[in-house]
Amino acid sequence: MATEWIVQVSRFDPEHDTHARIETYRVPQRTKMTVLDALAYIQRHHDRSLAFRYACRLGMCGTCTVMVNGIPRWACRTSLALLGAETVDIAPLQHLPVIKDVMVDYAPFVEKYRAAMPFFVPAQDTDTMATISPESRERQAIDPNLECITCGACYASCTMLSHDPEYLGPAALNRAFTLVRDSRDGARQERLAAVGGEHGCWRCHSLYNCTEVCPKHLSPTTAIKGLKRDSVLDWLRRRHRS
Amino acid sequence: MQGAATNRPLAVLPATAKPAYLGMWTWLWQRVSSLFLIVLLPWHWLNPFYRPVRLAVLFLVVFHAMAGVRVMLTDVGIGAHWQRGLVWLLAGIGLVVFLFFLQYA
Repeated sequence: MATEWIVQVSRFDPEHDTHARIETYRVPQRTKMTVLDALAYIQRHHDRSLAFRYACRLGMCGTCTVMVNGIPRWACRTSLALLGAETVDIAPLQHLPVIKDVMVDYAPFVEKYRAAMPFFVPAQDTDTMATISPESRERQAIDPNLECITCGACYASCTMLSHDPEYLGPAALNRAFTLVRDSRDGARQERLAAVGGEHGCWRCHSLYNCTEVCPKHLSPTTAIKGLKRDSVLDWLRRRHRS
Repeated sequence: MQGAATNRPLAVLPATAKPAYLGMWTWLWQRVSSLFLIVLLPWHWLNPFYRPVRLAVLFLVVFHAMAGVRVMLTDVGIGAHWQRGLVWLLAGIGLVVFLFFLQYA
């Protein structure tokens, strides 16, 4: 039985490199060791210049998300033993510019999130608390998609972003869906317009990559399908009225 | 330090030890099958008695149709929460359909 993992890390320093290169490190196997532990070990014992990002270390912030053996995962919550491979590849998230090594710039992701109008716009100017029953159809549709912490795993897994870099991506559309379905929201039409079009919900081709990789077990694909249905129904209603 | 958080089981993402991105491969092979059908369907119409082409057309049409059915079902909310199972279920149905029509091909 092997006593160490072979960890292959993508290294890239924009000041010195033109392309990323793969560096191989040996990390001793320890109980419950995570990908984040392995990165910390490499930084401490092999190369102090290794750049990676983390904050909470317990699966709350999503900051440490990296590609592990080709799949985006939270480094802090991914057990090396449970991966079932002695060689582990760690790379930066796909579809985002690399700052250094496995650290990426989330700016394009955030810009697209903003473009989907992720903020609540009250329909009524009132201080009265709205009552929406947990059993209501509205809550049943919204609740499964509320827990997103914008870690970017879905964004990195989406094949459509390779095809269309302007595509808003699963996280932004998922957020838009939770607001479009909210009866208290007053910006439904503007939001549907923002997330429609060829770079919006219609770019999704039901691949379900985002659903497969989401560490929070959300299904952005289901939310995007909801946006498509709402867009069509709203269009039909407008045509019926005119 | 052994706090409560460190004793919790570590999360295993759904794709572990499973073929990753099953939906993506289904979508991709559906696109590829359409390219083959563009060539093979006219070939089949021009020479309907050439069995290898008949078999290929039957297989590709069934595969393409089942992949389309998957998207239509999930579009209306059916199978959206067990889409991996839906892929295998439709693959099984497709295989039965293919084997049934094989006797006429």
